[in-house]
Order: sequence, then C-alpha cells, then structure tokens
Amino acid sequence: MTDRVRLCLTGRMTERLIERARAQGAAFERIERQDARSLRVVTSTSGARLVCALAEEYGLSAEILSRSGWRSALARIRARWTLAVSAVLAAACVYFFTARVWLIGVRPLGESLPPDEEARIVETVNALGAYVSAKSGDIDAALISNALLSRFDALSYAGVRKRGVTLTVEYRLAHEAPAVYDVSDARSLYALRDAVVLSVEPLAGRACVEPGDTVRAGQMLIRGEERVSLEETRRIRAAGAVIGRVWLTDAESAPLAETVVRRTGRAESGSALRLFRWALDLKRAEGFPSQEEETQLLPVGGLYLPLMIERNIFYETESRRVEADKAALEKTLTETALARARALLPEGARERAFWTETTAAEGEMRVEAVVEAEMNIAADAETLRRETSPSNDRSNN
Amino acid sequence: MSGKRPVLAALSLPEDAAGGLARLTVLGSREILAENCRAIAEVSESRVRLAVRDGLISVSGTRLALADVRPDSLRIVGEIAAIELPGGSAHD
Repeated sequence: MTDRVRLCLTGRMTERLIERARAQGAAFERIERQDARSLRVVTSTSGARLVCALAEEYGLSAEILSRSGWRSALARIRARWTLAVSAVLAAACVYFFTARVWLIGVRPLGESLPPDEEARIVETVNALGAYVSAKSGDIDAALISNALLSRFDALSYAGVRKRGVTLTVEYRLAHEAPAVYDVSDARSLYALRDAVVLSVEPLAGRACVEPGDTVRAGQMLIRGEERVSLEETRRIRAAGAVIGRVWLTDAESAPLAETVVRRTGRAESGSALRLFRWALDLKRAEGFPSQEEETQLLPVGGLYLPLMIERNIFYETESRRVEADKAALEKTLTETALARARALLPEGARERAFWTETTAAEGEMRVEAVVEAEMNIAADAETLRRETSPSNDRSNN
Repeated sequence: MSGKRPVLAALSLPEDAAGGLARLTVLGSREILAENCRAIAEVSESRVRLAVRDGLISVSGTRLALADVRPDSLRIVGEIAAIELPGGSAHD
C-alpha cells in the first residue's frame, strides 16, 4: 500500500510551484483544477512535504486534505496508541477471566441432600483448592471427587465438572445396603411388649410360644437354635415374626372447677409527680386487699426535664371458683389421651379398637384411653434394650 | 541543439532522443502522454498548457487533469477536444 497525500494548493501561479517541485524530484499522481485559485494535488509523502515547504516559501496555502497508505496508518496508530494498549489489556482480562472459576454449583443426580449438607460439600470443595477465582488448571477434579466420597458417607457418587468459568459438583445419594442374614450370628428373639400371641412364624430357630399364649415383655419367643443331630444342637440367628395383640394406654386429667380472678368494678387511682428517682405524691390511693394495679406514665410536655406524672390505678378483684363445662372438658381430655396413646404405636402396627374411661373424683376429671393393636412383637436383644430404656418407657398394659 | 539535428538525421536517430523535442502520444480522445515538456504553464478544467522548447502546447477539452506527473513526463486525462501545437496549428 503506497502512501498517498491529497493536498489543496491555493494561491497565484500554483502551476509554477508544481513545476518547482517537479524540478526537485517530486512526482504527482494527479493534478486537477478545483477553482480559479486552487489546485487539488495527489502526491507521495515526500512530494507533499516538498510542496508544503515550497508553498510556505512562496506564500501559498497548502492544506492537506487526506492521507492514506502505510505511513498514514502508522501515524494514526501512533496517535491512538492507547487503543492498542487497551486492546491488549482487554484481551488479558478476558483471558484471565476465562482461565479461572467464578461459579461453583452443587447438583444432585436424583434425591438431594439438606441445604446445610450441600453447604458442607461446598466448604470441602473450597478447602481443596476449588474456590471462586481459582485457576481452572489448578483444580484437580479426581482429588476432589475422592475426597467427597471419603468424607460424606451418604454419597455413592461425587463428580466434579469444569465448564468455562463454572464448576459443578454432582452427587448421588447412597442407598442403604440390605441387611445380610448371617446364620452363625447367634441370637434369639424376645417380646417387645406384653401381648397375647396371635400367630407365630419362625423362619429360623425354634418357637417358644404358641398362638393364644400370654407373654410378658422380654420373654423369649423364638430361640436361636437348630438341631444338628439327635444329640447336638447349634446356635443360630433366629428370624421370624410373632404377631401379638397389644394395648397402649394414656391418661389425661384436669380439675373440674377452677379459680378465676375477676374485677369487681371498683377502682381507685393515685398520682405522683416523678423526676428521676424522686416522687412527690399528688393524690394518695388506699388500694384494696385484692387488686390489680396499672401504672401510667404521662410526660409533662414543654420542659426539657424528664418530668412525668405517674398514675396508679387499682382495680379491686375477687376470686371465684368456676365450674368447668364437663362435656367440653371430657371431649378435650379424650382427644388428647387418644392421640397420645396412638402416638405410642410403632411403625407397622395396626389399630383394631380403642375405648376410653372417664372418672370424676376429688374435683378432678380423668380420662383413660386404650388403643388395641396388632403388631410384630419379636425383636432381638439390642432392639429390646433400646425400646425399653427409660427414655422410651410409656404406659403399656 | 541546432547542430545536433543534422547529426541525428545522418544517424537516422529520432530527434526527440536528444531530449529536445516534446513528444505527445495521444490515446483516443481521453489521454495524452506528454514527454520532454519543460514546464506546466496552466492547468484548468478546460485547458492545459505545457511549455515546450518551441513554445506552448495547448490541450483543450472538458474535465481535464494531469496524472502521473513525473519530472520527465506527464499524462493529460479528460475529454480532449483539441490540441494546439506551437506555431499556431490546431489539431482536433
């Protein structure tokens, strides 16, 4: 691309100036008349320089209209050097931005963890070097994945995926492994509660009870034993179910009458002028033997001191015993007792019947609720110990 | 220079080879290549006059301009109507 300068030469005898420039070696791409006093000239950079110098020397006007070519482009670049610097800075910013991670997300594949557990996952990921503004190349996805699996037992899969400026942690919850029946793990089954046996299904071991038997809590139901030969038996892990009828009770009581404090309607008031801790009685009130007191503080306006008028109002009260609504009380106590008795039913139990018994004595009403249910009462020793611990002990018939 | 003409003629060399005479090459009616001109006397849209050894060459027309102006040659471009040579003979 050759450089080209377009000039406008104005004045008298412009042709002569052109000739002088030609004589000094200038070449012109084009010369054309613009008006009576102006010539439009296209020449090279050196030619333009020569023309301008001659124009200045001879008192003519030489105006550069435009420039093109490598030199003018270079001059423009030099004039806008900050543009190049800005472009380089912008490119560097884009590079540094895209080379780092700015978003970290957690995505469950299926069922999700509670929010606080997901927050712990994010904290673990951060601690392993994958945090906001970390370099993408420094993040070891395999290390993070293995660390998550080792620290979170609830996960069966944990994967880390990097895409652009986003880091996504994907996880899947582990399913509980089914219980393995180990026949050599010797144990027997015992009754969880007092019950009447309805059916016995021993899958492994020897039944110790029959349908119709009444058993007490802790009584052996299925012995973990099998006969190997006529003389020999061996200990095994008992398995099976014993369905029994159980009764769960709860009782609620409440007084038949209650004491209610009511105002009689009589009242007295006293007032005092108060400033900080000091008070000046304005009106004294006697009060009542049994009363409710109400205090009002009324600021005295217009002053800068915290001056107040304290007004004490005394309401005479009397206590009366009020009989409770028996029907409503019984209904409330019945509902409460039944709900609490049903709450004692374990999972898998089927309710068969319920009844309540109401008694009133010594100014108190008592409602006892009984829920009859059928359930599997066979349990191993550890479960029996856990269920019959003092914290789990509720009323059982 | 006048002494060179008989020598050039004797050697059968063209007279403009000695650099004295102007040479005009007319390309249709749109362009004239002028060589060995001494100076540009006038440039306007309707007339271009060039100073040569024997006088002035005047080219008239419309939208005339000079192109590729070099120290030893130039081109006259535009719609050329007439060329007037030194000595008063005009050629259309």
